[in-house]
Amino acid sequence: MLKAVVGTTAALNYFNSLKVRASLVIIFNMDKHNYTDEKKFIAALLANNESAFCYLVESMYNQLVTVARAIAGPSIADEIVQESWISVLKALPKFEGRSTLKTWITQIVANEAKKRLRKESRQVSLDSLSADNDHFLDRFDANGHWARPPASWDLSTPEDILDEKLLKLCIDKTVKILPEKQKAVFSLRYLDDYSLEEICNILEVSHSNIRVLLHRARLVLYQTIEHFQETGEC
Amino acid sequence: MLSCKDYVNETSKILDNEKLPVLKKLNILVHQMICHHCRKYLNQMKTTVEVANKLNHKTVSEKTKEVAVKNLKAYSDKQ
Repeated sequence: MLKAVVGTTAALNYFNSLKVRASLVIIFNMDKHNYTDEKKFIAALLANNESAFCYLVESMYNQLVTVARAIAGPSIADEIVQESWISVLKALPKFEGRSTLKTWITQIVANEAKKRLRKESRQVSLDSLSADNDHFLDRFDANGHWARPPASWDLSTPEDILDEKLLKLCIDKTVKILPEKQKAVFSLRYLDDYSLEEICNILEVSHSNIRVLLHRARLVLYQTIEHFQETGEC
Repeated sequence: MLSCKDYVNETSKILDNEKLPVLKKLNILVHQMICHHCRKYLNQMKTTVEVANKLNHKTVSEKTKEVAVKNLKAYSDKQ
């Protein structure tokens, strides 16, 4: 009988501790609201909901600063984005839903960056393509055959590659130091899932130039992974 | 007949889901069948794209978030 009481008491204590823990989790996670429903998210922003503001910044800041850097240069990109939040909130009541909210906000920031560029008479041309990253052409001989063909990769799946911590660091560093134009196109395409057409509209760059920038960025990443596979180093 | 260098450029269009003329697609396919280096390159580049698709933006710093939210609140409080 005593064992049963002790057992029941222990069970009750455990259950109560679970409830307490659950309540704490709810309290601490109140700020971690995931606004996946766009309409509810817009309503929360318009209602001056602080957690909606946090979510907006957390989910979009990096993407927006990448776009601003590509258009107006790195030194004023952060400033452009921080100033754009107000433009977003001002224009939000007029959002008609013709694109996603994410695309609409990105376009606002792109426009602010271009405006700022014109105002400061900066000469950052997004459309010019310098011959950077053309080292890959050295892999071919004069007849266009492989002079240095690809070697086999031990880490052959994306999961194996990303699980290799040092390689993951190399990859992150590679993306971070891509030339701004390549980084913007690469980021918008693969991290933010924009189509090439959307990227053309945001950055006001021709389709063929976008393709060249993306191809070069991919080649840089490819060579980083390949180099690590061969040498174990970045 | 495509060279390996041309093949590398053309496969970029495949990775971008570009619509290619039938003859071009055939040339690419034929080259792929006969050149194991280029087959290997394509598979590795597809893996590279899959890696890219799995990357995430880094976390926004607390300071950046704080400044942004403060500005947003200041604007909304005035309305």
